[in-house]
Amino acid sequence: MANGIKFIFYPIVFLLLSCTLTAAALGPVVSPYLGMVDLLFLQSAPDFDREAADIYKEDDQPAEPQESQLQRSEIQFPEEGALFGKILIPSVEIDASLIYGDDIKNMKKGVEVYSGTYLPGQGRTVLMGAHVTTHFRTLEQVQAGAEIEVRTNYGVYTYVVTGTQIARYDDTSAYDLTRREENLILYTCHRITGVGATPYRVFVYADYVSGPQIVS
Amino acid sequence: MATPAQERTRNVISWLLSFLLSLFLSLFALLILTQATILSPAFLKRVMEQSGYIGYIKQDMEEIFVSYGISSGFDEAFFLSVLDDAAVQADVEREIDSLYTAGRAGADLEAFQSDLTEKLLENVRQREFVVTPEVEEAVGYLATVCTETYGEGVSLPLASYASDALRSLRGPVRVATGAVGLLCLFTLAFLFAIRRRRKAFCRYAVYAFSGAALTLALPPAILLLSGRIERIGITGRALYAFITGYARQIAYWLLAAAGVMLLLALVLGAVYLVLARRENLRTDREETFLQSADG
Repeated sequence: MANGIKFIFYPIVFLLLSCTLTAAALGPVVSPYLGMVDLLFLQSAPDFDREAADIYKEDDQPAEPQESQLQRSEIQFPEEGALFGKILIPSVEIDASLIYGDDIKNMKKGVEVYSGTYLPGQGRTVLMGAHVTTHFRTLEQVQAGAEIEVRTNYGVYTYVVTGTQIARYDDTSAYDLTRREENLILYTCHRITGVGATPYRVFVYADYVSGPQIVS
Repeated sequence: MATPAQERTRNVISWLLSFLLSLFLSLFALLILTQATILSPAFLKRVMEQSGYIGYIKQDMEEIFVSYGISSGFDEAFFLSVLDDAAVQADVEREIDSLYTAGRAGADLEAFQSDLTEKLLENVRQREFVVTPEVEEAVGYLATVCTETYGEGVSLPLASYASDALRSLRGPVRVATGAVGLLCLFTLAFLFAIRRRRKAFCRYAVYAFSGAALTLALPPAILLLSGRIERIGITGRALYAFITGYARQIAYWLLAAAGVMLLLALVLGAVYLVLARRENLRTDREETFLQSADG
């Protein structure tokens, strides 16, 4: 082999040998995790400026009477930050947009449905929160027996208030997210003074009355 | 005069030494780079500044504070003026320093909370609220919640795990750098001893430096050209900017190290060509002399 070609050939051979040695040395350690590498990457670069698409329009009301059940595949589930419904509590004049997700930055847009719980119709606990100075200003005045209507892009649900309490935000006995029947918990800050904050929250509990159940 | 078998053995040993030198040079460069990048607080600070990380975390914290403010009776304008760019940067840099050096204090959260409480109470007085003990307690609680958010915002992700690893790696990496550096010198010396003809030594050294350049250049080149860095699945803007900026800078430094190796290979290659030309000239003169002597 001419010397000139050796200057190209041997470095490439060294590269391949180095890669082989590295693979042999690190392979047993790394190979169990190789399958997970693709999970770390998206199909394309994330777009942080993209706003979640709102999927609820007030004019689009579901057909009456509603089906008692909805197929999961027929429902457009909301993404984080999307407007997907409304909540109405006529007795305390609450009429607010429903936003999916619990990013506190989105709480100025409406009532947020905590994404760690379930959506209306999924037969479990639905947890919703909002600011006491805006959308849940009058929540503390709600009485047992009051009706709550939750309109979503896939159905209309009604609940009836069963009780309220004031408890600390970290008092886990104040809310049961593991109940296996559909129920609604609303919460907001409990304020004692006109400014500032407290660790106390107002919890409003409501049982399911009607609305289509989501089945797989 | 070496026999053909001896010459073959010497060639094989030279080739092996050249390969080992290539490996050691690559490893040496990686260890130097590790000290200059991953183990360097100055590098981390520079990446954070260049990637816009500090601006993004400040923006995130402001949005959260505004939301707290809405629920607490303070308007958006107040909370948008609470955070200072320079103060946030200084606190992030303190967190970085505490990551690398045991015993260094991180962000001064007590000072932040105290300052914020004063500003909140001042705002309350300006709005002609009566500052009762209940109001003070409520304002103090709000300041506490904001301070917790601020502390989480300026602290670095996985800091406690990272700091243990970073501090424990520093010493061993320095020792390893010295050891591998010595191995490089030893291999070079051994190669020079075997190939007493400087031209042959230069040739094998060029193989080694070129091999090291390729080994250092290939992974970052693949990473940068594949576009994987931009597709990393991080959902927070600030962390995404930081991680992608960090990965890109590491890749660029690896390419720079490969460039240095290539430059050294080119210098040795130039020396080789000069030596080869001199040898050819000497051979030509000898042949001419012998021809004239025969004549």
